[in-house]
Amino acid sequence: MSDNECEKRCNAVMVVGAGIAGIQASLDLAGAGRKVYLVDKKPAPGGYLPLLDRQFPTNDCNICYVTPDSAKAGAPLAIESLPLTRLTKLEGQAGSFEATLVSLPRGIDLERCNACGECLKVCPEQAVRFTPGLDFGSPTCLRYPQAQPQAFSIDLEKCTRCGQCLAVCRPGAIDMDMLSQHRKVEVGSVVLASGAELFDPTPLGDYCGYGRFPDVVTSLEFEQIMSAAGPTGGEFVRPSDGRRPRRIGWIQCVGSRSTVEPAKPYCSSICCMFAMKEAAWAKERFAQDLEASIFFMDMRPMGKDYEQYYQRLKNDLGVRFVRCRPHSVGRDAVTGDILLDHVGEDGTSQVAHLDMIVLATGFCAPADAAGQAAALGIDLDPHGFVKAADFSPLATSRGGVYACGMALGPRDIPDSLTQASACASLAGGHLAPPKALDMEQDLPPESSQPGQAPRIGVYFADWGGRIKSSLDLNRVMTATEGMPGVVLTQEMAPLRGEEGLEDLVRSIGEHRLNRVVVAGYSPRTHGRIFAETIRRAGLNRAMVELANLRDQDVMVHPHNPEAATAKAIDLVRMAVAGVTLAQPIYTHQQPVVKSALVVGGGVAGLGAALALADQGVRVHLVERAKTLGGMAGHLRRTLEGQPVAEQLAELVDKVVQHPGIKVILDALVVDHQGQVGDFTTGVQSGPSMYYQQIQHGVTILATGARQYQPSEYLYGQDPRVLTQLELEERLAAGQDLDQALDTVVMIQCVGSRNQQNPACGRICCQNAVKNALWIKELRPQARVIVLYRDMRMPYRAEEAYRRAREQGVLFVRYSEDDPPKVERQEQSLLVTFSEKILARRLAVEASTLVLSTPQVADDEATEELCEIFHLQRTPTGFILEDNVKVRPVDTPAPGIFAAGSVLAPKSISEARTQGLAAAGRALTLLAQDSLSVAGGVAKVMSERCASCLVCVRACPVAVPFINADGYSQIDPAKCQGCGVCAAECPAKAIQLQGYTDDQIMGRTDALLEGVL
Amino acid sequence: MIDFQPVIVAFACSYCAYTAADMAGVQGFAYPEGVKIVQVPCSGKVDSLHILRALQKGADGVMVAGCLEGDCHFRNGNRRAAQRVRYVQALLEDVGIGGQRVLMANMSAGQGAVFAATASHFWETIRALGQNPAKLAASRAAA
Repeated sequence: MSDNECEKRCNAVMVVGAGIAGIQASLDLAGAGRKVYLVDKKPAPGGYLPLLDRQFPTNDCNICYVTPDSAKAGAPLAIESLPLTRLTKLEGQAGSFEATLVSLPRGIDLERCNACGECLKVCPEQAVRFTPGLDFGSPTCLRYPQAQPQAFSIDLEKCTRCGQCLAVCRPGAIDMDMLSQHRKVEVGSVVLASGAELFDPTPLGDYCGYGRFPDVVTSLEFEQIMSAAGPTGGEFVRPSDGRRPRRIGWIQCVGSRSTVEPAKPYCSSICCMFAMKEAAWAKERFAQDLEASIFFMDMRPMGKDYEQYYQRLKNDLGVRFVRCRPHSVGRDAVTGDILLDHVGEDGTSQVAHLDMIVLATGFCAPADAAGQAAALGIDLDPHGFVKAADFSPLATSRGGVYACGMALGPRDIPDSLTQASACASLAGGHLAPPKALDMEQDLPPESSQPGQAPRIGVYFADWGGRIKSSLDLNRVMTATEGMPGVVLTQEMAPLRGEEGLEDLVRSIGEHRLNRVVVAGYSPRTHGRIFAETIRRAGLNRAMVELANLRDQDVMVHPHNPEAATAKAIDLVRMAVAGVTLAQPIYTHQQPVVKSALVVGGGVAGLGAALALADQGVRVHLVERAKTLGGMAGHLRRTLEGQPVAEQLAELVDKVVQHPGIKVILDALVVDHQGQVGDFTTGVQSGPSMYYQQIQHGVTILATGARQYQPSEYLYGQDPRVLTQLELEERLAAGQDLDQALDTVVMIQCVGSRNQQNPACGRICCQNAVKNALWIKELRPQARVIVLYRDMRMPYRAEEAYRRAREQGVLFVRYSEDDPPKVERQEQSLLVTFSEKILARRLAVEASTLVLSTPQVADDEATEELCEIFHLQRTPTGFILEDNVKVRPVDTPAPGIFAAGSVLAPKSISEARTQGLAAAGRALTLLAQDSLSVAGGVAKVMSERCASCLVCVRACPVAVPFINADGYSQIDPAKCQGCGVCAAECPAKAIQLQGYTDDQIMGRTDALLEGVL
Repeated sequence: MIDFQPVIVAFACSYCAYTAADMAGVQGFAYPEGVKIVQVPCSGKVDSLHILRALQKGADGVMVAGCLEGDCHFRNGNRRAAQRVRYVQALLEDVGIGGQRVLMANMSAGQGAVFAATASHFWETIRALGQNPAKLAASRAAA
């Protein structure tokens, strides 16, 4: 078989690791029409997110936004989830890999296990595992409704075959004789999302007290203690004595930023925000009753608006931030206080008295990282994370294998999700363009006719035998036979793969059923499966209802078969009544124009355009300037010392040469209309302001930011005062530098983290270190002094920071209220600043003063853009995403994405990743010939509408509007189906499909039949 | 009225409360059989009408269960539900049925124990209150 043949045949991608990054990549790939194998070594997918109760900045729980929305996404059907599975070998090459998978035996039959937990209780060897998302002891239990499978597993390596669990397992689900399964699958590309592990502070116990004092806990343990669903049941108490702690201290950088083993030399990047979230949450709950202190070296809140979050904690919530070096933890024998000895910024030793200490532990590479890398044939960095390049930041050393999330080093949720979507678009590039995704393809036409008398089939699904053993199923079935409209009552054979469902399809046809009730499982877990199954039988998906006899009957009334039987009859009657009143829900179809408009020709826009065009999408790339390249055109090298110009030129060249991309330079977007799938945008270009209209299905906005132009520190008045960009240009030119580089002083945070611009510039620290190292390279004897407020060097940038110090670059901290002063002198610039340890002011004669200025929002351009595309901006002027945490490149407007520094300051590799991510998200829309909206949506009966605006105000997603005819109109493509408008509408002019007032009351009536 | 077994209708939102109810099953937290659950997409979908209809049809109590405050999947549907519950409570107070027969509850999807405890506690409260007077009137009318 030639590669080409495979490339045509292979439409599959292997995703390794099922944390949020892996899940997001899988969803984007499946949404773009790809087949996905999602393997994870753990017994259930989810990674770390289900362990977190809340996420900043809103302290919300976001998991239901990330996990597949079972009601609307058909995509997860294309994802084959393989828990307890490892990829052990990867042969072949991009486009035609053959992957060997080994699945460990679970020891428990998923069909039978009802997660009762008896086996866990009796196992003497602790060989029984429960998935973290469901563990009673875990913080959040199941804020993760889609967690599948909901069952235990047995670690057969630990198991001694004592047989105690076999004796207590009522459904007989335990099978110790299961064998490992080997399997080979063909895939075109691989996405590695295998994550990281939390650093275990036990070996540092001498220093941090972990393991010595029960009230020293890790941040993840603290999250559990704070969680309403945690082991203490929401009681906020400390482990040692069950008392509520009143003085809590967080210690940052535990296991990170240290050259002493086993701690890691890099910065774990996310622990600052982790600790701040916990402190904020504790303060919000207990306010005056709680003293929260964070002991830190540098605070590094670098994400979008994170700095503002930090300021809010400091200024509004009263969290105490102590800049210091903690060195030991002890206990006061008399008071029992935990004592934290630390050296303050002024060099003095201090002791903090605390009730509890939380260690902000870092992350490290998974223990099996090396083995996995060997199996995949990819290189790792010295810390065991996947090695990546600046310009193709997600590509590994092996073509066709990409990495995202913490596999590349510690990073937060938005960055992980961005990389995941970017990987989806890169991985798709090795596959043949997908067949248009058509959820309705190969399905028989729908046969339901309105007015048909109901012919209802009620199927009892009791695959584990749990229901039958807990109630009188015969009595329930007899009662069901007598219910109005029921023509068939039957037990379903146990489901073995798809076969059982085919039986159901046949049975529906044989009995000419037009409505179906399945009694047994929860609609939450099985609703979509049966909706899809009856659709295959020619029925509308709305014509099925589930009676939840398991989770909401026999399992909550296990010792009362009489009552459980009576309740089962009620639940079946409710489902029969509900399905009798069901109306078909037709999908709204919006044809998709298979082209994209990309606004902005910087690295983000260029990358997005190329990724889309490579997958067969026609791209219009509009750029305001007369050349492509954007901000990266001003950069000479990256922090790692890689040259920028050649790489950028190569990217620009590829875009210009690509037959699928039309570049329009010197152009401005002037108008925009339409909806997702079919937009029309007007563009003016050239000196003549030539006007043209572009039709496109999706839009990506990547117009970038601008560099802040300082007025501080004599900038513009003295030629020896430069910005970092100007310095970089001179260093690249390399002429007449000797005198200028004699003594260079850099001042950080010029134009950022102040009243005018509260945001952090994110990359200015890295730029300063980059240029400092460059100066040292050109002129080792040069004196370089960096005056900073916090050095913000994530992950391996920390190593560059250490290298700079080793090479003699001096870093001196200044505080916001005591900034450096600069005076012009004949021969030099006199810079004076306070030195905290010496407690005096120092003066330096600088030959060059360099100001580290941030990227700021290009106000004029972004404001206009947002007006045209109806988007919102943040207070600092950047585009507001749909959800900064979990939809980092989606805007609230369907089909419009944003990428790069138009969202917030970005480095080259970050901007590039975001462009690819936006392409990955856009491909999920462009894979379909028409966009269909499957779930129930709100419908307005215009004859009843008084256009009172109640629905307009009530809608959480601002969909209803009063149309030209004076009635409320709800776009089915945008409606999320919550039904709030229907409930609020005073004229009852709005009904929610599937939950009309008639249906809800019909169900309630049936449930209560016989009560009166 | 020694063996009064109240019937409770619980409207539960798909995102949190309905899942919590499933979790009560999965995790083995029992609650009285008289508590019967109707699924709604969001607690904000529950209309005053639906609550009153359930009471009219013989429910002794109605519980509306949504996500935790601030965690509503649809931003503030659960707050709207709480407002409506307060409205119905006042109404029931006025007509002599008693506002305590309607309860707004909040929980996260993982809180099976909270669902079971809330349902059990509410059931006990209603048991102490006695039968829904509307139900008594209806059965008297029928007799």
